[in-house]
Amino acid sequence: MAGEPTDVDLIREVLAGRVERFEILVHRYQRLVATAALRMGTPREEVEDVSSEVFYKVYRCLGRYRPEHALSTWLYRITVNAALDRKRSTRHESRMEELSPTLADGRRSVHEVASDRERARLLQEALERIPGHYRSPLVLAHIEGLPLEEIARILDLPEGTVKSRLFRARAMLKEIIRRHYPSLAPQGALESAS
Amino acid sequence: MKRDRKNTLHRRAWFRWIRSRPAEGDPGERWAAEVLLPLRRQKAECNVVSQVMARIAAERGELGTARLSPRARRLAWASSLMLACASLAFLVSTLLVLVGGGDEGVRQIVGLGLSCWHVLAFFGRLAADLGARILAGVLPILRALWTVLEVAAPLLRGAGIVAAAGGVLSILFSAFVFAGARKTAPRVNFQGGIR
Repeated sequence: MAGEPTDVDLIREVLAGRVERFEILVHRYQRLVATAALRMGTPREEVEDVSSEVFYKVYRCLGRYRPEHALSTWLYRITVNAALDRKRSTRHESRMEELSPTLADGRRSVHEVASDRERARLLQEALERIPGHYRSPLVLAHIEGLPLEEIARILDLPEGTVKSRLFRARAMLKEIIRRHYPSLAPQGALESAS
Repeated sequence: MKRDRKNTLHRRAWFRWIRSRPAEGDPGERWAAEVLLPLRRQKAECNVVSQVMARIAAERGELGTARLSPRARRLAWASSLMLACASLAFLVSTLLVLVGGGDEGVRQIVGLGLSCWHVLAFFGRLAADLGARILAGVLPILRALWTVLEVAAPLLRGAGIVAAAGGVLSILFSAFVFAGARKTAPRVNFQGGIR
Protein backbone atom coordinates (compact mmCIF):
# COMPACT_ATOMS: atom_id res chain seq x y z
CA MET A 1 0.00 0.00 0.00
CA ALA A 2 1.52 3.28 -1.06
CA GLY A 3 1.19 6.24 1.33
CA GLU A 4 0.49 9.82 0.39
CA PRO A 5 3.02 11.23 -2.08
CA THR A 6 5.50 13.67 -0.60
CA ASP A 7 5.71 17.27 -1.75
CA VAL A 8 8.98 16.60 -3.53
CA ASP A 9 7.47 13.62 -5.38
CA LEU A 10 4.52 15.71 -6.46
CA ILE A 11 6.74 18.55 -7.63
CA ARG A 12 8.85 16.13 -9.65
CA GLU A 13 5.72 14.72 -11.27
CA VAL A 14 4.43 18.19 -12.11
CA LEU A 15 7.77 19.12 -13.61
CA ALA A 16 7.71 15.91 -15.64
CA GLY A 17 4.45 17.07 -17.24
CA ARG A 18 1.73 15.65 -14.99
CA VAL A 19 0.29 19.06 -14.22
CA GLU A 20 -2.89 17.64 -12.68
CA ARG A 21 -0.78 16.51 -9.71
CA PHE A 22 -0.36 20.16 -8.73
CA GLU A 23 -3.96 20.02 -7.58
CA ILE A 24 -2.92 17.87 -4.61
CA LEU A 25 -0.34 20.44 -3.55
CA VAL A 26 -2.87 23.27 -3.77
CA HIS A 27 -5.34 21.22 -1.76
CA ARG A 28 -2.70 20.42 0.84
CA TYR A 29 -1.48 23.97 1.40
CA GLN A 30 -4.36 26.28 0.54
CA ARG A 31 -5.44 26.70 4.16
CA LEU A 32 -1.89 27.54 5.26
CA VAL A 33 -1.48 30.11 2.49
CA ALA A 34 -4.91 31.69 3.05
CA THR A 35 -4.41 31.92 6.81
CA ALA A 36 -0.93 33.39 6.42
CA ALA A 37 -2.25 35.96 3.93
CA LEU A 38 -5.07 36.89 6.30
CA ARG A 39 -2.70 37.23 9.23
CA MET A 40 -0.37 39.36 7.13
CA GLY A 41 -3.19 41.87 6.87
CA THR A 42 -4.89 40.90 3.63
CA PRO A 43 -8.60 41.74 3.87
CA ARG A 44 -10.77 38.61 4.16
CA GLU A 45 -12.48 39.26 0.81
CA GLU A 46 -9.11 39.39 -0.96
CA VAL A 47 -7.59 36.31 0.66
CA GLU A 48 -8.84 34.00 -2.09
CA ASP A 49 -7.29 36.13 -4.83
CA VAL A 50 -3.97 36.35 -2.99
CA SER A 51 -3.93 32.58 -2.39
CA SER A 52 -4.68 31.88 -6.02
CA GLU A 53 -1.93 34.28 -7.07
CA VAL A 54 0.53 32.59 -4.70
CA PHE A 55 -0.16 29.12 -6.08
CA TYR A 56 0.06 30.34 -9.64
CA LYS A 57 3.44 31.91 -8.87
CA VAL A 58 4.55 28.67 -7.24
CA TYR A 59 3.55 26.74 -10.35
CA ARG A 60 5.42 29.16 -12.62
CA CYS A 61 8.59 28.94 -10.51
CA LEU A 62 8.36 25.28 -9.56
CA GLY A 63 11.63 24.51 -11.32
CA ARG A 64 13.44 26.79 -8.88
CA TYR A 65 12.26 24.91 -5.79
CA ARG A 66 15.12 23.48 -3.69
CA PRO A 67 14.10 20.28 -1.92
CA GLU A 68 16.49 20.87 1.02
CA HIS A 69 13.93 23.35 2.41
CA ALA A 70 10.32 22.56 3.24
CA LEU A 71 7.75 23.60 0.67
CA SER A 72 5.87 25.44 3.39
CA THR A 73 8.89 27.73 3.90
CA TRP A 74 8.83 28.65 0.24
CA LEU A 75 5.06 29.13 0.32
CA TYR A 76 5.36 31.40 3.35
CA ARG A 77 7.96 33.48 1.54
CA ILE A 78 5.80 33.91 -1.55
CA THR A 79 2.71 34.59 0.55
CA VAL A 80 4.45 37.26 2.65
CA ASN A 81 5.72 38.98 -0.50
CA ALA A 82 2.33 38.71 -2.22
CA ALA A 83 0.54 40.13 0.83
CA LEU A 84 3.00 43.02 1.09
CA ASP A 85 2.76 43.71 -2.65
CA ARG A 86 -1.00 43.70 -2.41
CA LYS A 87 -0.84 46.16 0.45
CA ARG A 88 1.47 48.44 -1.50
CA SER A 89 -0.68 48.36 -4.61
CA THR A 90 -4.02 48.89 -2.90
CA ARG A 91 -2.62 51.49 -0.51
CA HIS A 92 -4.35 50.08 2.50
CA GLU A 93 -1.91 51.87 4.73
CA SER A 94 -3.34 55.24 3.80
CA ARG A 95 -6.88 53.98 4.44
CA MET A 96 -5.86 52.80 7.87
CA GLU A 97 -4.20 56.13 8.59
CA GLU A 98 -7.51 57.82 7.87
CA LEU A 99 -9.29 55.48 10.23
CA SER A 100 -6.99 56.04 13.14
CA PRO A 101 -8.17 59.40 14.56
CA THR A 102 -11.44 57.89 15.78
CA LEU A 103 -9.51 55.24 17.61
CA ALA A 104 -6.55 57.31 18.61
CA ASP A 105 -8.29 59.10 21.42
CA GLY A 106 -8.43 55.88 23.41
CA ARG A 107 -11.93 56.59 24.70
CA ARG A 108 -13.08 53.07 23.91
CA SER A 109 -12.41 50.68 26.73
CA VAL A 110 -11.54 47.01 26.41
CA HIS A 111 -15.08 46.10 27.45
CA GLU A 112 -16.53 47.90 24.45
CA VAL A 113 -14.26 46.06 22.05
CA ALA A 114 -14.45 42.82 23.95
CA SER A 115 -15.21 40.47 21.11
CA ASP A 116 -12.26 38.59 19.76
CA ARG A 117 -13.03 39.56 16.20
CA GLU A 118 -13.07 43.22 17.03
CA ARG A 119 -9.79 42.88 18.89
CA ALA A 120 -8.32 41.12 15.88
CA ARG A 121 -9.49 43.91 13.61
CA LEU A 122 -7.94 46.55 15.85
CA LEU A 123 -4.75 44.54 16.11
CA GLN A 124 -4.63 44.27 12.36
CA GLU A 125 -4.91 48.04 12.17
CA ALA A 126 -2.13 48.41 14.71
CA LEU A 127 0.05 46.06 12.70
CA GLU A 128 -0.63 48.07 9.54
CA ARG A 129 1.22 50.94 11.13
CA ILE A 130 4.42 48.90 11.39
CA PRO A 131 6.57 48.96 8.21
CA GLY A 132 6.38 45.76 6.17
CA HIS A 133 9.95 44.60 6.81
CA TYR A 134 9.32 44.72 10.58
CA ARG A 135 5.77 43.39 10.39
CA SER A 136 6.69 40.21 8.49
CA PRO A 137 9.01 38.73 11.17
CA LEU A 138 6.55 39.73 13.88
CA VAL A 139 3.66 37.95 12.17
CA LEU A 140 5.74 34.90 11.34
CA ALA A 141 7.14 34.60 14.86
CA HIS A 142 4.24 35.50 17.12
CA ILE A 143 1.20 34.70 15.00
CA GLU A 144 2.38 31.88 12.76
CA GLY A 145 4.61 30.60 15.58
CA LEU A 146 7.57 29.78 13.35
CA PRO A 147 11.09 29.26 14.74
CA LEU A 148 13.72 31.90 14.16
CA GLU A 149 15.77 29.91 11.66
CA GLU A 150 12.73 29.25 9.49
CA ILE A 151 11.78 32.92 9.53
CA ALA A 152 15.33 33.76 8.50
CA ARG A 153 15.00 31.30 5.61
CA ILE A 154 11.59 32.64 4.59
CA LEU A 155 12.70 36.25 4.61
CA ASP A 156 16.14 35.40 3.26
CA LEU A 157 17.84 37.29 6.07
CA PRO A 158 20.50 36.40 8.66
CA GLU A 159 19.11 35.23 11.98
CA GLY A 160 20.66 38.19 13.79
CA THR A 161 18.82 40.62 11.54
CA VAL A 162 15.53 38.80 12.10
CA LYS A 163 16.10 38.93 15.84
CA SER A 164 16.82 42.65 15.84
CA ARG A 165 13.83 43.34 13.60
CA LEU A 166 11.66 41.35 16.00
CA PHE A 167 12.87 43.47 18.92
CA ARG A 168 12.15 46.65 16.97
CA ALA A 169 8.77 45.39 15.76
CA ARG A 170 7.65 44.47 19.29
CA ALA A 171 8.80 47.83 20.59
CA MET A 172 6.90 49.59 17.78
CA LEU A 173 3.77 47.55 18.43
CA LYS A 174 3.94 48.34 22.13
CA GLU A 175 4.30 52.03 21.36
CA ILE A 176 1.45 52.00 18.84
CA ILE A 177 -0.83 50.17 21.27
CA ARG A 178 0.09 52.54 24.07
CA ARG A 179 -0.63 55.60 21.95
CA HIS A 180 -3.56 54.58 19.79
CA TYR A 181 -5.12 51.36 21.06
CA PRO A 182 -4.73 51.28 24.85
CA SER A 183 -7.67 48.90 25.07
CA LEU A 184 -5.56 46.22 23.39
CA ALA A 185 -2.81 46.23 26.00
CA PRO A 186 -2.93 43.17 28.25
CA GLN A 187 -3.51 44.24 31.81
CA GLY A 188 -0.39 43.93 33.85
CA ALA A 189 1.79 42.72 30.99
CA LEU A 190 2.43 46.22 29.70
CA GLU A 191 3.36 47.55 33.09
CA SER A 192 5.65 44.62 33.75
CA ALA A 193 7.23 45.03 30.34
CA SER A 194 7.79 48.74 30.80
CA MET B 1 51.33 40.58 24.29
CA LYS B 2 49.38 38.88 27.08
CA ARG B 3 47.91 42.21 28.11
CA ASP B 4 46.72 42.87 24.55
CA ARG B 5 45.00 39.49 24.47
CA LYS B 6 43.39 40.14 27.81
CA ASN B 7 42.12 43.52 26.59
CA THR B 8 40.68 41.97 23.44
CA LEU B 9 38.85 39.33 25.47
CA HIS B 10 37.56 42.02 27.78
CA ARG B 11 36.31 44.04 24.85
CA ARG B 12 34.66 40.98 23.31
CA ALA B 13 32.84 40.27 26.56
CA TRP B 14 31.54 43.83 26.60
CA PHE B 15 30.49 43.55 22.98
CA ARG B 16 28.66 40.30 23.73
CA TRP B 17 26.96 41.93 26.68
CA ILE B 18 25.82 44.83 24.52
CA ARG B 19 24.68 42.51 21.73
CA SER B 20 22.74 40.23 24.04
CA ARG B 21 20.79 43.09 25.60
CA PRO B 22 17.27 43.36 24.23
CA ALA B 23 16.39 46.40 22.15
CA GLU B 24 15.19 49.36 24.13
CA GLY B 25 11.46 49.28 24.57
CA ASP B 26 11.06 45.63 23.63
CA PRO B 27 8.23 44.31 25.77
CA GLY B 28 9.33 40.72 25.27
CA GLU B 29 8.03 37.59 23.61
CA ARG B 30 5.40 36.77 26.21
CA TRP B 31 3.85 40.19 25.89
CA ALA B 32 3.72 39.89 22.09
CA ALA B 33 2.24 36.40 22.31
CA GLU B 34 -0.47 37.59 24.67
CA VAL B 35 -1.33 40.68 22.64
CA LEU B 36 -1.41 38.88 19.31
CA LEU B 37 -3.47 35.96 20.55
CA PRO B 38 -6.71 37.05 18.79
CA LEU B 39 -4.87 37.16 15.48
CA ARG B 40 -3.38 33.73 16.12
CA ARG B 41 -6.90 32.35 16.47
CA GLN B 42 -7.88 33.70 13.05
CA LYS B 43 -8.19 31.05 10.35
CA ALA B 44 -9.04 31.43 6.69
CA GLU B 45 -10.84 28.79 4.69
CA CYS B 46 -10.92 28.96 0.94
CA ASN B 47 -10.90 26.63 -2.00
CA VAL B 48 -8.77 27.87 -4.84
CA VAL B 49 -7.99 24.51 -6.45
CA SER B 50 -10.32 24.93 -9.41
CA GLN B 51 -9.30 28.58 -9.87
CA VAL B 52 -5.58 27.78 -9.91
CA MET B 53 -5.94 24.72 -12.12
CA ALA B 54 -8.10 26.65 -14.60
CA ARG B 55 -5.49 29.37 -14.80
CA ILE B 56 -2.73 26.83 -15.34
CA ALA B 57 -4.80 25.04 -17.98
CA ALA B 58 -5.45 28.33 -19.77
CA GLU B 59 -1.75 29.11 -19.78
CA ARG B 60 -0.88 25.64 -21.06
CA GLY B 61 -3.50 26.01 -23.80
CA GLU B 62 -1.89 29.22 -25.00
CA LEU B 63 1.53 27.63 -24.92
CA GLY B 64 0.21 24.60 -26.79
CA THR B 65 -0.85 26.68 -29.75
CA ALA B 66 2.39 28.62 -29.67
CA ARG B 67 4.62 25.54 -29.57
CA LEU B 68 3.89 23.82 -32.91
CA SER B 69 6.25 21.13 -34.08
CA PRO B 70 8.34 21.92 -37.20
CA ARG B 71 6.55 19.18 -39.13
CA ALA B 72 3.14 20.66 -38.34
CA ARG B 73 4.41 24.09 -39.30
CA ARG B 74 5.67 22.77 -42.68
CA LEU B 75 2.36 21.05 -43.26
CA ALA B 76 0.45 24.24 -42.46
CA TRP B 77 2.65 26.25 -44.84
CA ALA B 78 2.25 23.76 -47.72
CA SER B 79 -1.50 23.48 -47.26
CA SER B 80 -1.97 27.25 -47.18
CA LEU B 81 0.12 27.60 -50.36
CA MET B 82 -1.94 24.93 -52.09
CA LEU B 83 -5.13 26.66 -50.98
CA ALA B 84 -3.86 29.97 -52.38
CA CYS B 85 -3.04 28.34 -55.74
CA ALA B 86 -6.46 26.71 -55.88
CA SER B 87 -8.15 30.06 -55.09
CA LEU B 88 -6.16 31.78 -57.85
CA ALA B 89 -7.04 29.06 -60.37
CA PHE B 90 -10.68 29.36 -59.42
CA LEU B 91 -10.61 33.13 -59.87
CA VAL B 92 -8.87 32.95 -63.26
CA SER B 93 -11.19 30.24 -64.54
CA THR B 94 -14.23 32.24 -63.42
CA LEU B 95 -12.93 35.31 -65.25
CA LEU B 96 -12.23 33.27 -68.38
CA VAL B 97 -15.71 31.83 -68.30
CA LEU B 98 -17.18 35.30 -67.91
CA VAL B 99 -15.04 36.72 -70.75
CA GLY B 100 -15.82 33.74 -72.99
CA GLY B 101 -19.51 34.10 -72.21
CA GLY B 102 -19.46 37.69 -73.52
CA ASP B 103 -20.47 39.39 -70.28
CA GLU B 104 -20.60 43.18 -70.84
CA GLY B 105 -19.32 44.18 -67.39
CA VAL B 106 -16.38 41.80 -67.64
CA ARG B 107 -15.54 43.12 -71.11
CA GLN B 108 -15.43 46.66 -69.72
CA ILE B 109 -13.21 45.59 -66.81
CA VAL B 110 -10.87 43.79 -69.18
CA GLY B 111 -10.76 46.88 -71.40
CA LEU B 112 -9.97 49.08 -68.45
CA GLY B 113 -7.27 46.66 -67.31
CA LEU B 114 -5.68 46.68 -70.77
CA SER B 115 -5.72 50.49 -70.88
CA CYS B 116 -4.07 50.62 -67.46
CA TRP B 117 -1.49 48.12 -68.63
CA HIS B 118 -0.70 50.33 -71.70
CA VAL B 119 -0.32 53.41 -69.53
CA LEU B 120 1.91 51.57 -67.07
CA ALA B 121 4.03 50.16 -69.90
CA PHE B 122 4.45 53.65 -71.40
CA PHE B 123 5.56 55.21 -68.12
CA GLY B 124 7.83 52.26 -67.41
CA ARG B 125 9.54 52.73 -70.75
CA LEU B 126 9.96 56.46 -70.05
CA ALA B 127 11.52 55.74 -66.64
CA ALA B 128 13.88 53.18 -68.19
CA ASP B 129 15.01 55.67 -70.88
CA LEU B 130 15.63 58.34 -68.26
CA GLY B 131 17.65 55.93 -66.10
CA ALA B 132 19.74 54.87 -69.11
CA ARG B 133 20.49 58.51 -70.01
CA ILE B 134 21.52 59.37 -66.44
CA LEU B 135 23.73 56.30 -66.21
CA ALA B 136 25.32 57.16 -69.57
CA GLY B 137 26.26 60.59 -68.17
CA VAL B 138 27.35 59.49 -64.69
CA LEU B 139 29.25 56.31 -65.52
CA PRO B 140 32.24 58.01 -67.29
CA ILE B 141 32.60 60.41 -64.32
CA LEU B 142 32.61 57.52 -61.85
CA ARG B 143 35.15 55.68 -63.98
CA ALA B 144 37.42 58.75 -64.06
CA LEU B 145 37.16 59.14 -60.28
CA TRP B 146 38.15 55.50 -59.80
CA THR B 147 41.21 55.99 -62.03
CA VAL B 148 42.29 59.07 -60.06
CA LEU B 149 41.92 57.12 -56.81
CA GLU B 150 44.03 54.27 -58.18
CA VAL B 151 46.77 56.66 -59.25
CA ALA B 152 46.69 58.67 -56.02
CA ALA B 153 46.60 55.65 -53.68
CA PRO B 154 50.43 55.36 -53.13
CA LEU B 155 50.64 59.09 -52.52
CA LEU B 156 47.84 58.96 -49.94
CA ARG B 157 49.50 55.98 -48.23
CA GLY B 158 52.79 57.88 -48.01
CA ALA B 159 51.07 60.97 -46.61
CA GLY B 160 49.39 58.79 -43.96
CA ILE B 161 52.72 57.31 -42.87
CA VAL B 162 54.29 60.77 -42.65
CA ALA B 163 51.35 62.03 -40.53
CA ALA B 164 51.61 59.06 -38.19
CA ALA B 165 55.36 59.55 -37.76
CA GLY B 166 54.73 63.24 -37.06
CA GLY B 167 52.20 62.32 -34.38
CA VAL B 168 54.61 59.93 -32.66
CA LEU B 169 57.37 62.54 -32.74
CA SER B 170 55.04 65.14 -31.28
CA ILE B 171 54.09 62.79 -28.40
CA LEU B 172 57.76 62.07 -27.67
CA PHE B 173 58.61 65.75 -27.73
CA SER B 174 55.72 66.59 -25.36
CA ALA B 175 56.83 63.84 -22.96
CA PHE B 176 60.38 65.21 -23.01
CA VAL B 177 59.21 68.77 -22.34
CA PHE B 178 56.90 67.61 -19.55
CA ALA B 179 59.68 65.60 -17.86
CA GLY B 180 61.96 68.64 -17.98
CA ALA B 181 59.24 70.85 -16.53
CA ARG B 182 58.61 68.44 -13.65
CA LYS B 183 62.31 68.44 -12.74
CA THR B 184 62.49 72.21 -12.54
CA ALA B 185 59.00 72.90 -11.08
CA PRO B 186 58.78 74.18 -7.45
CA ARG B 187 57.43 71.61 -4.91
CA VAL B 188 54.25 72.38 -3.03
CA ASN B 189 53.37 70.76 0.30
CA PHE B 190 49.79 70.04 1.48
CA GLN B 191 49.68 73.03 3.78
CA GLY B 192 50.01 75.25 0.72
CA GLY B 193 53.61 76.27 1.35
CA ILE B 194 56.36 76.03 -1.23
CA ARG B 195 59.43 73.97 -0.44
